[in-house]
Amino acid sequence: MVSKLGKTTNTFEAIVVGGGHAGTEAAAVLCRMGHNTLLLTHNKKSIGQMSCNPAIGGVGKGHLAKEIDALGGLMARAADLAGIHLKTLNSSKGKAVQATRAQADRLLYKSAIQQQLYAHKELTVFEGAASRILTKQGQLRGVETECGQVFNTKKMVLTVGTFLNGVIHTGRERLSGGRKGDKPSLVLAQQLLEIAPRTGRLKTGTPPRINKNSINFDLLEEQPGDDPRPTFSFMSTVDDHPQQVSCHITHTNEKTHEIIRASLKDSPLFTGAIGGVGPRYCPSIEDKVVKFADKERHQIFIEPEGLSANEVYPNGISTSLPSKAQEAFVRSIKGFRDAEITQPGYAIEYDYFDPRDLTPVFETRAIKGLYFAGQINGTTGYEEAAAQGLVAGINAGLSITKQDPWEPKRDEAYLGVLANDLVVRGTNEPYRMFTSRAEHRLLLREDNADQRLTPTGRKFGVVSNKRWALFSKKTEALNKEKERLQTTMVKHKTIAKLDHNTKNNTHDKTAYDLLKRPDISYKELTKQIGGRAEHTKNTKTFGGTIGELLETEAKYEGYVNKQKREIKKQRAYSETRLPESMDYTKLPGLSNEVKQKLTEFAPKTIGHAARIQGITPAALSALLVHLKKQKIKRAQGQ
Amino acid sequence: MSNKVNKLSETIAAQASAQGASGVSVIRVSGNKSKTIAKKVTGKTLSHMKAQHTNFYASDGAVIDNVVVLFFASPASYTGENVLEISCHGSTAVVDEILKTLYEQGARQANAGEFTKRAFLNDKLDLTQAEAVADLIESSSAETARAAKNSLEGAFSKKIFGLLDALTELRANIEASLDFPEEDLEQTGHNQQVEKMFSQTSKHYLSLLEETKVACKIREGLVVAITGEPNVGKSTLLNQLCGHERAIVNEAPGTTRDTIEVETTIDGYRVCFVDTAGLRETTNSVEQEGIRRTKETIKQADLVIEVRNAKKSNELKTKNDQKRLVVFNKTDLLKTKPKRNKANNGPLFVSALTGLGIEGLVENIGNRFKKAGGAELTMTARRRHLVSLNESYGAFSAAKKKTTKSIAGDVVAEDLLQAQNSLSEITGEFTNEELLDSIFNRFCIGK
Repeated sequence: MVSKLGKTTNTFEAIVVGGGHAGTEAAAVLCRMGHNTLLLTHNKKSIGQMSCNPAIGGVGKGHLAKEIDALGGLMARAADLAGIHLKTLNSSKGKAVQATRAQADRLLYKSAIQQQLYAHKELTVFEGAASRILTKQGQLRGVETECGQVFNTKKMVLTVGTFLNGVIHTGRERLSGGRKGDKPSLVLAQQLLEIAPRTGRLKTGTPPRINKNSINFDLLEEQPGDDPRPTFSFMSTVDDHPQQVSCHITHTNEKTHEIIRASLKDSPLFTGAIGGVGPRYCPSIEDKVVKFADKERHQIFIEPEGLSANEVYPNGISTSLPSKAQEAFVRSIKGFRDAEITQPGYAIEYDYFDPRDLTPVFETRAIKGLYFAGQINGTTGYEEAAAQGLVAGINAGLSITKQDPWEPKRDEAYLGVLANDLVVRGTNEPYRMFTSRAEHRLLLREDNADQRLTPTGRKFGVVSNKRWALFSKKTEALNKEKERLQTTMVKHKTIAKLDHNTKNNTHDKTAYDLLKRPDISYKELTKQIGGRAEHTKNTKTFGGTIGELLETEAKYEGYVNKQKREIKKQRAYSETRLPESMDYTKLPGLSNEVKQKLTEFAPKTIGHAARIQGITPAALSALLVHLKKQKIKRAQGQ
Repeated sequence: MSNKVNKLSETIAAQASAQGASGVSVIRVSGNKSKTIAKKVTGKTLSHMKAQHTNFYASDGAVIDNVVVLFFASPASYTGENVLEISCHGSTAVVDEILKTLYEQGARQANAGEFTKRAFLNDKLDLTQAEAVADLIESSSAETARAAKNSLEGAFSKKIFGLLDALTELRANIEASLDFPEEDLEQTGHNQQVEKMFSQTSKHYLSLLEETKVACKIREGLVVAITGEPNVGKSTLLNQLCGHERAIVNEAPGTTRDTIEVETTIDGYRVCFVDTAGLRETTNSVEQEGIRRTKETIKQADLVIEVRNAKKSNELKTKNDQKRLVVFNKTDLLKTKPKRNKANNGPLFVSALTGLGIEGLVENIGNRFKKAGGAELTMTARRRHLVSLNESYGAFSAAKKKTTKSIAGDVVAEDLLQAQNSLSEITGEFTNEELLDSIFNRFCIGK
């Protein structure tokens, strides 16, 4: 075949299978690293498609999207180009949990992803279904399609999502398949089972889609986006956003609940037809009505599907009840009396592979060079998938040029929390990111994602010159202003003006120290000591103004330093590797429970072992001691 | 693992010589802060391997003891870290005061085997030593764990887990509002509920702290309860036991309970004898509470001495166990002297009146504590509970203070996380996953 580089070839430096959120990030980052990459997808048109609700970001997820952006990824930029309603969540609860969310126009989003992707001359896209992974002596050799074409490669990222043994349920009806309309890959699924035998079954659901024109919006509570609007990408401005629209809110009522309760006998969730585990944070409306029976109403968030779309996405009533029952309960909801369901809700069950069988950078243990990313690893959500695609892609790229792998740390990025949680603890429900999963939450803010990751990305060659120039400019401005504040002494009389709690006998302080106080803002401070207007100007570029960023940095400094000390302490031994061949059953001083856990989880480092539930400090000591003994034995040649 | 000495580890301190009273006791301090701590407690700047005779000062400046200090600079020391060795007079009270001061100055209590473990990890030992140490670490960490478990029994445990539950619920409420801002939590009185939880949890903390302080005071020593029928000679026995070493530290008739507590030392261990006189004589319903407490004391005692009348009893074959010691009193009234069946761990025979057999009884008690080995560890664990509880309360109070200013945010959650981490030092690890479980069980989350 003819690649974009003009050469006729069926050999690529890397191949990405699947064009969803994980696949597109993986393919794009491999191209950014300069690798000749093939994207194999069953349908070119669905590249970058949002298959569930039309929104990007939110608490935890927004953090991931910003980190992907800091490494030059596609998602945040596409969310800006497609964002028709943007908000900053948690704006009053502290910078660490503040998060950006965009409602996206599905069509605009897809085309923004495709445009960014197709801009890479290193990329070749081929339409076809992967049916067999080709190996030679445990090494990856390539992939074969259902039509029999063979593509050769040594690095492959597999992002085949929910197509593994997918079963769709609506009432008592069952249908094999992936997302509505997509083909299942049963042959591939069979082969993957041989590669990675530990699998689990999960389920997820969607709500019915409703014709926009059949809803009486006058009865609903309107929720406009923020003004001024936040932007997602470091590279965007508000001018990149398309026309803005509102979301709406309504609620279920007692009548709705009655109808649902009466239909439970036909719900596959309650008849036992569905055995997969659903996410607790995204329960079906049936689940909510049963589990929280005393709640009088449940909120429904009505998300627009796009500027030109005739459908809306009623978030909050995911269901797998029979179509008739869906129609009945939907029409009992305020504003939905005449609602017309354009596509009934359904539940989908699918297989995932236990991510504990992967290395910390998502490479399979069975086949070197083969990476798994996205929903196949038991996660849910676009952002979680994209994050894995990016990390797997970067590592596939690094291994092509024989560089050390990059394992993001838990205190460095949500990317690290995600990867570490998955490969160390695994998951038994669709894994979604929450900020409470991050023990170093105060370090991992949206507003410092670029500072945390862009320099690393630059090192790997995934950050463009343009982004690097902008980042450098920001860093310089930030450092310069910080230095000014740190060297500017403020007289005690001025301090008393700024902070009424100040005692009379206070000493002079540096401006930076004053900024640490909860009651002193950058704006008020610079009114007293002078400053550059642009640092407080209300633009949302750089994830905030220089003034805002410095204020956050100063106010969190105490906590952050404390956390950093803790991290250093933990790091001392946590990066010590545990050999894969370690036989824990023969180790003295460990309880049987600990032996069994260590054998099951096969931790890669002492740090990983420490994160496994039930592993005590005493057990860690025993492990360290054992390693040390081995080392001394080797050193003394015994 | 590198060969470099880990400079980040905390500074630890503990008695290095054998436990119990002796002529001279050696206290070892190891870690980065050793030198600055040495300066604070002696007022002198020490140099490598130069012994100095000096006063040891408490944090308030009072002289605790006249000691000899010896400093070893890293890496030429036992552990490879900066090490301070203090030789002081060998009384448990002095050792306790010195350790207390060291903890106040920034050291923390060393875990069992921790000095040797550090020496081991810093490559200060050869293979043979290392093998031995590996075994030691394995067994001592098991022992520490056992000690911590022992100290976590009964009413204290119930309360501490109750507090943990309250704290978890509070955290779940706050984390839910941070991770799920769009659920209509605020509209359903969520904030008022959080406020209420803060004030309830605060009360919970204060009452538990108060109780733990009292318990620690009692528990400074090992508790030995003396039980038995009226007129069996309990009080006389108590006087004999305490007179033995003539080291009564404190005598206070029980005020809230019908017990008399007397502190003394046996083989250098602090022992608190509790005379449970009056247990069976009370018929007054008002004193029911007192009886309940007495029973609780017996339950929590490290050893229960059951005093019986040798003349009346014919259960001479009773066996003793780890927590129970049967003593037949009034042997002076017997015509033939009974012989103790030692192999059978049989009861002891004494005459509290004449003092006959008392020495054997004291020796028996001392041996039990030495044999248990865990005695010192259990006390250590208890003191550590108080430290952890205090730390936890400090972080909790910081969180509470911040919420009075505004609604709960990320830093409040951070403080609560610290509070929970400190509490987990007592109860064991608490994971993020458990927090999520708690959130999802309490709230209907999800759009």
